[in-house]
Amino acid sequence: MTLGNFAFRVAKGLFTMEGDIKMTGAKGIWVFIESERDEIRKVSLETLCEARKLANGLNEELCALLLGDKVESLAELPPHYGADRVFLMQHESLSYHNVDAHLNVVANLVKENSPRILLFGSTPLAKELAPRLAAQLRVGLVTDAADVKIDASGKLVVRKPVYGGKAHATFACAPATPQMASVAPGFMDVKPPDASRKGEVVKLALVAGGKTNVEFIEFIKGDPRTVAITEAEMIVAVGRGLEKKENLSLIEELADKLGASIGGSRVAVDNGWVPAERQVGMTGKTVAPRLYIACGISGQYPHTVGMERSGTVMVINTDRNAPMFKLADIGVLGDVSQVVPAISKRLSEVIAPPKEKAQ
Amino acid sequence: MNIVVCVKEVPNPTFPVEVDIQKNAVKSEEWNYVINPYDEVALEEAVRIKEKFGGQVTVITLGAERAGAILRKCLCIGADRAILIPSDSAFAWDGFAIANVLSKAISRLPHDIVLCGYQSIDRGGAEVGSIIAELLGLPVVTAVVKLDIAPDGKSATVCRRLERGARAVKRSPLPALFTADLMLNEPRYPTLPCIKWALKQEIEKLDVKSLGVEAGPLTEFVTISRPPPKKVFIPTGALSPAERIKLLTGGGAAKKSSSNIVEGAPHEVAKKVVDFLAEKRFLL
Ligand SMILES: Cc1cc2nc3c(=O)[nH]c(=O)nc-3n(C[C@H](O)[C@H](O)[C@H](O)COP(=O)(O)OP(=O)(O)OC[C@H]3O[C@@H](n4cnc5c(N)ncnc54)[C@H](O)[C@@H]3O)c2cc1C
Repeated sequence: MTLGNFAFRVAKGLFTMEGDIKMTGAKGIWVFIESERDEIRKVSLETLCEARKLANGLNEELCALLLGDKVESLAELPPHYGADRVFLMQHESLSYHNVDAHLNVVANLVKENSPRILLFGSTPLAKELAPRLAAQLRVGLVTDAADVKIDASGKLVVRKPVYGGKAHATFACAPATPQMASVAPGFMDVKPPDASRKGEVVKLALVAGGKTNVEFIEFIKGDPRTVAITEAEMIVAVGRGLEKKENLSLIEELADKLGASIGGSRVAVDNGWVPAERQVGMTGKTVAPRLYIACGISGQYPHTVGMERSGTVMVINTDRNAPMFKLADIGVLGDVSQVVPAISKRLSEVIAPPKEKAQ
Repeated sequence: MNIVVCVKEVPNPTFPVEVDIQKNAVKSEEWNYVINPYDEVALEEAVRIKEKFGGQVTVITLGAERAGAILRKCLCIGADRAILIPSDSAFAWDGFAIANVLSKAISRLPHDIVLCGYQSIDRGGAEVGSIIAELLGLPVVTAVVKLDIAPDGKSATVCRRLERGARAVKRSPLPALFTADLMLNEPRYPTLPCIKWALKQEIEKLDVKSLGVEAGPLTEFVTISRPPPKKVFIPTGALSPAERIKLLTGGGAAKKSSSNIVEGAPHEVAKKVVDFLAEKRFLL
């Protein structure tokens, strides 16, 4: 594939530092940062925090690559999580779905600056971008990493789940730089941000766009009511504690208010409250939503194996000793049939009039 | 419409995966092999396109001689031609090396569309399709859940699976490469006439050496291990001794402490819960 005709220049801007962005030899660790709804994505922060450790070990610079059509307001954040420098490029052609444009820009930046390591968070964009970039540059890539390290010879060594997570395999990248990996969400910790930490923001301008092969037509938002439970962003899950089918309307009300999908324990499925394809657990689906609300679920191991990688967990249960509370970020000791409608009511007070959820 | 489908064999996912630490390998003696489910969906889509537009479906695999069996199954499902590129060491190869060989082979075949599975269920790289496309200079869209070819056969409109049920609709000129998500279709069962026909077909063999492949793997396999143990719950000092003992004897691995428990009148509890959800930015 031919590359577009590019030229970069350092633009004078608010937080621009004029300077030579060329580095000699392959040096430095780069992290490709993605944003969503005006926030940096969590997996990007996880990758950045992990990359900080690698940079410390190598005693090299950590750079955040922030590209997009509306990202300028985020440029000061990566240093709070450890970046020394931010390469910022804002251009309308760099919309999230334009993989070709991202590819051209990143390939050129890499060729001009020769970083030693380039890391991505594993997202829909990175799933296409990283392999194509690695192929173009003829460098090693390991996708969906659970762990990244640098060995004594300076090689990037990456461990990742294989056989559906039943084993982990470790691979080392060839010495050709940049050595690349994409990091799977949820394996690495995000350190609390240090707002006093400042980094250099280098503003780059896209002078000429490259060729775009695939045309983006439209974005279709998922409907939480019908989306597969494995794809849901938030899940309200019910168990035996729902007590009767009539109470399901309370759960539906809460789920609709939050934009969440409904799931259930095996008991909920056996009772016919929740369809079988929405069962969470060992014999059901494995889910990792941002928010998991367990309503009247005791938290037996066959259930929790299916949801333990969820981001934030809320538990509503009448039994203080229910094992489910051990996974809770917030627990509510109370009856589902009373607590759930109260939360729905409070939500309508806070977000009234029901806001059209923006995409 | 000539379509090339890249397929591979994977261990039947119902078999247990056990790691032999001494040999630094998984115990595979008892395994049998199936078509990677994503590839089976890709093949089904190819056959459907052929049924509508005419043309030929060629399946191609890089793998052990044993992989001839899954190619035969592809013929049963509706492929017209099957090509095996024998290699004993393919599993040790990385996505780049595999894609490099396949792209060389594909470049010799007529292709309006190249279809791959989105990922393999053993190694799960989700990279081979994109790399082949890059090496062949083809447009690519991965994780396709809907594929519509324009009546003139010059372009395709596809739906790409994103997160949380969202989709991106994209249009690409042909030839192009797409990778199939499991939601793209429901693969058919072979019919008896197809099976009878397939049994008589020859599996063509292509020698890697004849392809003039110049580049090898860009990553190397180091070790395979059991998944690391789950983080175990450690009670914090914030809990009473009685609670700690109860939690410890409650069973199950956990990682969080449950000190953040609210109770009381439902409306008061609800207020705290909603504040918590707002603080964590779930109410956007
Ligand atoms: C081989 C095997 C596979 C399995 N696979 C799965 C699986 O995939 N998924 C799965 O979920 N289970 C699975 N199970 C079953 C699992 O072991 C549990 O039995 C099941 O998860 C329990 O469901 P539950 O939490 O809804 O019900 P229970 O364990 O009965 O718990 C009900 C909970 O609700 C609370 N409660 C009761 N009333 C109220 C109320 N009014 N308000 C609030 N709380 C209340 C109780 O205190 C209790 O904690 C499997 C079991 C086996 C043996």
